Amino acid sequence: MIRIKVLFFANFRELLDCSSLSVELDESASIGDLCDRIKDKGDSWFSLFANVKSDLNSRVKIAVNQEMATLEYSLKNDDEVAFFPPVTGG
Amino acid sequence: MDNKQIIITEKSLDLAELNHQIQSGQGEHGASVIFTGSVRIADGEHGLVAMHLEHYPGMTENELKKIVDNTKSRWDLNKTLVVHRVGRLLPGEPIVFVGVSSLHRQSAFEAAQYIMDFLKHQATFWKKEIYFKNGQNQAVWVSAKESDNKALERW
Repeated sequence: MIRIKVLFFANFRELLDCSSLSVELDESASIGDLCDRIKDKGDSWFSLFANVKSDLNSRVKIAVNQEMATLEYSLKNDDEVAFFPPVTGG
Repeated sequence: MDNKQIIITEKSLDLAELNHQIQSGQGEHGASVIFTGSVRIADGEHGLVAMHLEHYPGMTENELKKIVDNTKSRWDLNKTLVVHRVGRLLPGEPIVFVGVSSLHRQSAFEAAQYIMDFLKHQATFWKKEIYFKNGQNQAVWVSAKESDNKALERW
């Protein structure tokens, strides 16, 4: 088993009422597997993570260890995964 | 020079001081370009009460550093400074400051624009606007603009 730290920002954090979470997954699980795991935590989780593949880049951005990543990324123990909407700074 | 090139702060930006950091010693580098972006007083029909800026500490600094490094490898720059506010801002307050200096104006203009275009697209900041509407404050997360993605195509 590997343990992953998951972070949520901006409206995702508010929608889920959660800023961070610790998740245990099988060795070399992907980000897609992580989304599958957390989508059943409630309605708002389902709305965000059930169709994450089609929403990727337009609505959902993913970073692993503070670098942009894709759903196929193979996770390692202690990885930090972040989900957030497209950025709006500047 | 090895001053800090990237600053993320909850404090109000002192534009006079930031301008000075970029423009001092003009004799050696000839051209400087300063961009500041501020909170608009009113967006649409309802008055803006405040703006809240959230970011991803750590990743934001990494992304800004990548942008600054790319900019410096593309143009021969002397000074580069990127400062971004986080936390609660009031209408009229500066959100972002980008200052660059170089030998000639062309590279300074282009570099400042390049930094802003990529900052808008890659730096992990999110804006929430607070409006006074129907007798109460209402918060709205700002949506990303397609035009900001398009702006990257020219580079």
